[in-house]
Amino acid sequence: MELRICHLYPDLLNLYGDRGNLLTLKQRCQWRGIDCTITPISLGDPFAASDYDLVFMGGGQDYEQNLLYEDLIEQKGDAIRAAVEDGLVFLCICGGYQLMGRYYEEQDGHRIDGLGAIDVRTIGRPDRLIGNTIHEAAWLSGQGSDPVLVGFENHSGRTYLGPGVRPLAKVRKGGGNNGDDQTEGAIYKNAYCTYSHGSFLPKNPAMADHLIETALKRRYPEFEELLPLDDQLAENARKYLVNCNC
Amino acid sequence: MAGLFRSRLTLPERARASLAIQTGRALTFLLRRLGRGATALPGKAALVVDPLLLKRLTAGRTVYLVTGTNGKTTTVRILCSILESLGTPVITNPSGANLDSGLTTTLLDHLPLLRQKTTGENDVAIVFEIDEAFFAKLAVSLGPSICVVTNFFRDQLDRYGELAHTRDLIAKGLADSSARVVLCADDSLCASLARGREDQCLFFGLDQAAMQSGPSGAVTESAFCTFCGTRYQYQAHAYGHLGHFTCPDCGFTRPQPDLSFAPAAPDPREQQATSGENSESQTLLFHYHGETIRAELAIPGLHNGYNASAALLAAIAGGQAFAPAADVLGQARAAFGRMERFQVDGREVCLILVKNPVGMDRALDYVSHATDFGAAMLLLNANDPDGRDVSWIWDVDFETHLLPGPLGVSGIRAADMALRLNYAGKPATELDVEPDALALFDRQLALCPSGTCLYILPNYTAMLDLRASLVRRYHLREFWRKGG
Repeated sequence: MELRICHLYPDLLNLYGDRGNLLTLKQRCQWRGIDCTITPISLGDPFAASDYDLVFMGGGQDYEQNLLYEDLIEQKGDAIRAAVEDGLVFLCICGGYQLMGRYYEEQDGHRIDGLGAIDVRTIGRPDRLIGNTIHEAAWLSGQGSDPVLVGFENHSGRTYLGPGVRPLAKVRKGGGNNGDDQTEGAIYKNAYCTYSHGSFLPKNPAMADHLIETALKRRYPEFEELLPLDDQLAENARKYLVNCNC
Repeated sequence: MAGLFRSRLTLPERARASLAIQTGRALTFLLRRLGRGATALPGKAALVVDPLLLKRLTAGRTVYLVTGTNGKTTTVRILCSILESLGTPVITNPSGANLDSGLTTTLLDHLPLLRQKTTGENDVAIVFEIDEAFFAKLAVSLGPSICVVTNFFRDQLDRYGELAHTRDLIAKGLADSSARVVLCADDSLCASLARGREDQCLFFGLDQAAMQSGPSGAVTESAFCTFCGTRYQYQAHAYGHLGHFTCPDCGFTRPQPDLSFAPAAPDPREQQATSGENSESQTLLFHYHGETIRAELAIPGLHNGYNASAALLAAIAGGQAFAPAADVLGQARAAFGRMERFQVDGREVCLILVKNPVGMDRALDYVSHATDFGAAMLLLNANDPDGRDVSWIWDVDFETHLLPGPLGVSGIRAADMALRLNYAGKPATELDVEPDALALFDRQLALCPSGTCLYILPNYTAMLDLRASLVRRYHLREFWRKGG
C-alpha cells in the first residue's frame, strides 16, 4: 500500500515549518509499513491529479507567492479545481488556503483572483493575527478522536466562508479565519484548509491520520482503518499548549 | 568637554547636549547605587533631553554597524578583537542593547574614551551590533563609516516578517548613506544590496574551489532572483542558499569577492602547540587582492569563517592593512554562548546558541562531526526574544545530522523539540525530557566519558538561563571574562 503525496511549489511555499506536515504524513505512513512518496511540483511542472492521493500546499512570503501566481492560476488551475470536485484530498495552509479561494482583496480594494476551487474569499487588513491557537473540530470527536486542534497562526488576511463550505473548527483561542465569526479553516469535499502553522499535523495526529485514511480509502476501497500509534510525545506538546496560557 | 563633539555645535546645542549627558550619567549612577544594571534607561532619558545626542556623539567618528540575520555578535566580537589588537580602542554595545537608547547608554559609559583627543589609528572606533529591524532608522542617525551585512537567513518570522522585507529595510538604511558597505558575495539577497551603490561596496565570500560543486539539494531560501524572479542556477554551494549563484535571465550573479577565504589543513607546528584542541579552532587561508595570509581562528565552523571574513574586510574598509589585521585574527575568542567552551570534571562543555534553522543546521553539522562528542542536549524556549513561534524547528534538517545516543531536551517548549526529534527518527526511549535544565545538564554530563564534550544547543533565553546557572555553580565568571 502506498500514499502518493504531491507537494505544490515546495521551493516557493515553505514558510513557518510547513514541511513538518509532510514529514508527519510520511513518518506516520512508514511507522505503519505504508509506503509514502512525496513529489515536488513547482513552476513549469505539469500537475496530473490522477498521479496523487493527497496534495499539500503551504504558505509563502509575498515575493514568492507573486512568482508562482501565474503558473498556478493559468497552468494548474483547471486541474486543481477538477481534482477538488472529484474528492482528491488537499491540505492547504495559510497562503495556500487563500489561493484556493475565490479572491484576495487587498487593502486598497484591488482584487486578486484565486483558484476558485473553494468558495471562500479573503480581505487584507493592516494588522496581523499572530499567536498560539486552540480550536475545536467537533467532527473529529464524531470519529472517536480528540477534537482539539492546536497551532500557531500568523496572517493579515481575513477569510470568510461561502455557503457550502464548512469551517474546519470552532475557535477557542486565537483569531481563526477572520477574528469575527469564531470559525477556523475550511472543509469542502476532501479539501482541508487552515491558518495553523506550528506545524499543524505533528501536534494534531488525529487530523494527520484522518487525511491519510481518507486518501487511502479513496485509492483502496477495501482499506478499513489505520493501526494506532503511540502519540504520547504529541500529547505532551498539545497539553502544554492547551494549559500554558501563552 | 573638548573633543567630545566632533561636529560644530552652537552654544545652545552644546548646553542641551551637556545637560542630556549629565541626566544620563546621573541616572546610571543612581541605578548602579540601587544595584541595578543600566542598559536602556539612562540613554532613553538623555535622548528625551536631547533627541540628537546620539548623532552628536558619533559625528566625525569611525562608526561600524553590523547587521544581518546570523553571525552579528560573533562578527562584532572578531572585529573588536582585530581593532583592539592593532591598537585602536573600541566602544561596543552589549548584545541585546541595540536600540538608540541602549547605544546612547553605551556611549555615556565611555565618555573618557570619547573625550580623548587622539586622531588617526589610535582614535576610538565605535562598533555597534544592530538588529535588522532597527537598522534603517539607526543608520540615518548614526551616520556610519562602515556597514556590514552578514547574511539573510530565515529567522523567527513572527518578529520580523518576511525575508525580502528585512532586506528592503536594510536597503532603506543604506539608501542615503555614504558608508563603505561590506556584503556577503555568496548570499544573493545580501549581494543584491550593492545594486546602485557598487562603488561603495566590498564583498567577502568562500573560495569557489572550497565550495561543493553544483546546486545544493536543499536550497529553499531565496531560490529566485531578487530582481527578476527567475530561478537561480548554482555552479557551487557552501551551505543553505550561500553559493555561486547566477540568474540565467537578467544575469545577476555572485560578485567577485574582494576578500575570500578557504579552510586549510592546520599547520603541523601549530597543531602540536594546541594539541587536543582541534575541534576548537580552524586554519583559514585569506586572499585579498593577490595577497594570501594563513590564519588560525579559535572559533570553529564554516559559518565562522564567513564571520571572520566579514570582520576582516570591515577592518580593511576602516583603514587597516590586510596582513596585520589577518595576523591578529587568532586572538579573537568566541562570543557569549557562541561555541563557548569550559571544563568540568575532566570533561568539556560547549554552548552553541541556535536561533533559527540555518543556525541549528550548522550547529548539528559541527557537533555530528566533532571527534570529542560525548552527549548533547537541546533547549527550546519561546519567550519574546526567542520568538513565540517554534515552528522553525520543523525547517531544521535533523534527519541528516541525527545526533547519536540519548539526547537531553529541556526549555519551555521541550515537548515540541522532543516531538520533532522523534519524527526525525529518535525513539522516545532515547529522549530525556526534563524541565529542569540544570538537572538535565548533570545527567547528560554523567553520560560523557572522560575527555569528551557535552554539547548544549539552546536558543536565546534558554542559553541565558542555563549559562547563568553554570556561571554561579562553577564560579566561571573569571574564565568567561578572560575570553573578553
